Amino acid sequence: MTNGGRVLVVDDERLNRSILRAALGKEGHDVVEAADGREALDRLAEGGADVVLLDIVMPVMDGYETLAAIKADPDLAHVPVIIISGVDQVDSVVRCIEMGATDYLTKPFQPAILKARLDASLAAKRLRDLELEYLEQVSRVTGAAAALEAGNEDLEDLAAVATRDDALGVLARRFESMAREVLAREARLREQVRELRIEIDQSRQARQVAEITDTDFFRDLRGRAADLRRTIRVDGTDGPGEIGEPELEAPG
Amino acid sequence: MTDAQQAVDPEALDRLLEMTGGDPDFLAELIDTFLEDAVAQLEALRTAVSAGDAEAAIRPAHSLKSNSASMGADRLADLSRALEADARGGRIDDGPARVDDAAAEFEAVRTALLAIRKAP
Repeated sequence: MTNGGRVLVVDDERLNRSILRAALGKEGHDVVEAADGREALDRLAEGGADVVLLDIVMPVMDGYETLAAIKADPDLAHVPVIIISGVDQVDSVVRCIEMGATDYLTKPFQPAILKARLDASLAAKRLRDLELEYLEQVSRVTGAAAALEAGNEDLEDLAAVATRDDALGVLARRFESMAREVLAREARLREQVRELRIEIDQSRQARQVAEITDTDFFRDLRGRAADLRRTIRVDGTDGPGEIGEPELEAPG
Repeated sequence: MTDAQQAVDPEALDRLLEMTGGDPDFLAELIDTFLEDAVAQLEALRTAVSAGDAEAAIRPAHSLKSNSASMGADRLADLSRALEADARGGRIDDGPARVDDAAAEFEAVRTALLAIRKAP
């Protein structure tokens, strides 16, 4: 038993649309109607469909043109299209199947056959939707890996994938966990590097001070300054200069 | 040939009723829609064949065929099918007479459907 789907009924005859709406509604499907191919493409653009039931002979845009347009659109190509037509010629059936129609029923249709083919098409569409979702989520995981490699730390895209209860969900959770560990380790390393830089700067400053204070000139200068301080204390005067600074000569 | 008793297959209408949820009021709506649209389709068909426009006859013949078959009006569906096939092949020389046949059959179908519609 397949749950109801969104079915787009495309038929220029209101009698056929009414019959299909009632018959499909009875089976739990949500029915959307279009009176020609152009309207059908508009309805598909508005809200999509799980299956399209398509008539052939219609004004404005016939079933062949509509089928071609659906199959040429990458966003719609995977939507199953079942032809329901009063055209019972073999070449029409062959043409539609070759163009990508899932099935071809002639009017008046047998309800049991329509139900079976509709259910099969809905199951195929749902499987395809799951495949597309899976591939999209795989690409999120690989995208997160690429982003991490490029230095982007945003792992939000992985959140939806990580809630899956299948192997991909396990992979996403494991990757997210490892990525967070890597990011935390990186943060710790950055802090250590920052602290090391401070130490290096301090060492460099100490070395630069030492380069000055370890010279004979500086030692001589310091000795002369000490002598001057002693002289000042003994004489009770400020010595030769007003501010007590010795006259210095540059070394040799 | 245009006996109202045979113009519509009652089993086909029973199947239609069951398929659409078993509501006689809804079946009555379908009958009204069919009768209303068939008048317009026969008119368009007559206009097309009178003008010798085979291309213009295809759609109304096709629609009348499809709708008649859905309502169990098999003879009208057969007449319309033949008209459609000949129109596709450009053969509508005897079109007016055949549209008359279809219109006569339609009257029998209308009588039968209205009887079913009024039945308790």
